[in-house]
Amino acid sequence: MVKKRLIFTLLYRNGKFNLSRNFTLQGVGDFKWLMENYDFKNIMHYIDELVILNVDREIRTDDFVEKIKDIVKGCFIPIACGGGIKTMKDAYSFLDAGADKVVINSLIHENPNEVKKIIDVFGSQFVVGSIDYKSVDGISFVYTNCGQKNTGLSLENVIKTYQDIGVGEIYLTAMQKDGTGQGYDLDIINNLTNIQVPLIVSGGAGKPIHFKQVFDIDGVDAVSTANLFNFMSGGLIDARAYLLDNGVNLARWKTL
Amino acid sequence: MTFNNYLKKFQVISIIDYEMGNLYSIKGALEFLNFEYEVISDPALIAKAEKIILPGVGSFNKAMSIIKERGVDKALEDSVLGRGTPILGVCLGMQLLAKKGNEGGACSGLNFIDASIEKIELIDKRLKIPHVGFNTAHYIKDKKMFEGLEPELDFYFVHSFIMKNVEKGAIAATTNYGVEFVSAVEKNNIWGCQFHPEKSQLSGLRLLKNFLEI
Repeated sequence: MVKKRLIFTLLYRNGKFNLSRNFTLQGVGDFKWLMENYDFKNIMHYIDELVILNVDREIRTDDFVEKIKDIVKGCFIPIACGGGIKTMKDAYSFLDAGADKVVINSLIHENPNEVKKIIDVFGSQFVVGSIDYKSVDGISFVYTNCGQKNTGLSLENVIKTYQDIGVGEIYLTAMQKDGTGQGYDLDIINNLTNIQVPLIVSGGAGKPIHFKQVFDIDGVDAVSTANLFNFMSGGLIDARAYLLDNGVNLARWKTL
Repeated sequence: MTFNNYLKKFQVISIIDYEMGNLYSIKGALEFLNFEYEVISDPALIAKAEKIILPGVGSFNKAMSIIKERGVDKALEDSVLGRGTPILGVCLGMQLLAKKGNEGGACSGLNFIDASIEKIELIDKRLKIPHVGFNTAHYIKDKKMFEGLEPELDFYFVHSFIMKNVEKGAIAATTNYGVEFVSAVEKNNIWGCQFHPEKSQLSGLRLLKNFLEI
């Protein structure tokens, strides 16, 4: 059977990789920094998938595609890339740079037909639909455009729309948990129903037990963290060992 | 390093490009393993190749129509069957090694392995097609492909079709996804894997190395 996944997400903006807290970004270093201080190449051997998102609010820099090529080199796992995709051509440019999948958010709301076209050409497994949400009094509303625009649509509603369009997976981020390190949004995730596609849960990881808590929820296929500092150096390696020791069905590979 | 392995360092690996899927990761893996490669599509070059990797994602019928149109099928036959050139088919590339495909109508394949390609049929409705993700390969004994790999390791899959009715002796590994299917084949110089070794961490790199060093 297909294994559960531990995913790392890199947030890229204007030459730098970022930490995010409740969607407020803080640039921490460039590619060289990532390689030198974060032992990035070694960490790649302990995650199941890498997500690289361009989270630039203003201009969608062309150098992002070049950056994908740099990162992908020497990286032998599936890669999903997203941020600012508006057309089939954008999606193709990511594929051409080495991405196995694209992550799409705002475009699903703004131009669902273009997303359907991308799915028709490259297949549903190529498109990960990303959803950012905030909860007020137990009701979750979905935000687009890097969390800046409240769609007024409920989470349940958007999950249904995404699946109707045909996305292959859903990447769900709790904006209020993002970067807090206090744990995932367990209440909301526990009460999700009617998700037929693989679900990736993001936002809030601070320590290994937080991953375990989400994996314990039926229907969760993957967890993601973008927290560079909490999982610095050996952090992800320890987390993977902890999850395997505690019965989470993660992939096993030849070790170094 | 033995003298033989030393010589192998000078061979050029030919990656066949027929415009089905990107070659980025395969190239990256060969660079990582320190092997020289060339990306070729010219039948005259393919017929002379020393070692061939046949990648690809997408439609069997479309791939075969491009391959036949360009005379790549004949060139591969001369090379692989005629001269015994080692070939590794990856994902769609493995499927193309079969005698025939069956994707909305029958279509003949390269016919290096007696087998047919069929859509995955699932009884368990909770399982989805395509089969995407890391899944376990159960190796068949004495296949060179998995040398040096601990048993029951996971490899990365993305596919909707599987190889069926595989000739005796050619199966190298099976994997379970609702059904048990053939996830790798190895018949002398003809190797194929349904999963992506270039996306399967060190396990995949070791498998590639096993191929590069035969």
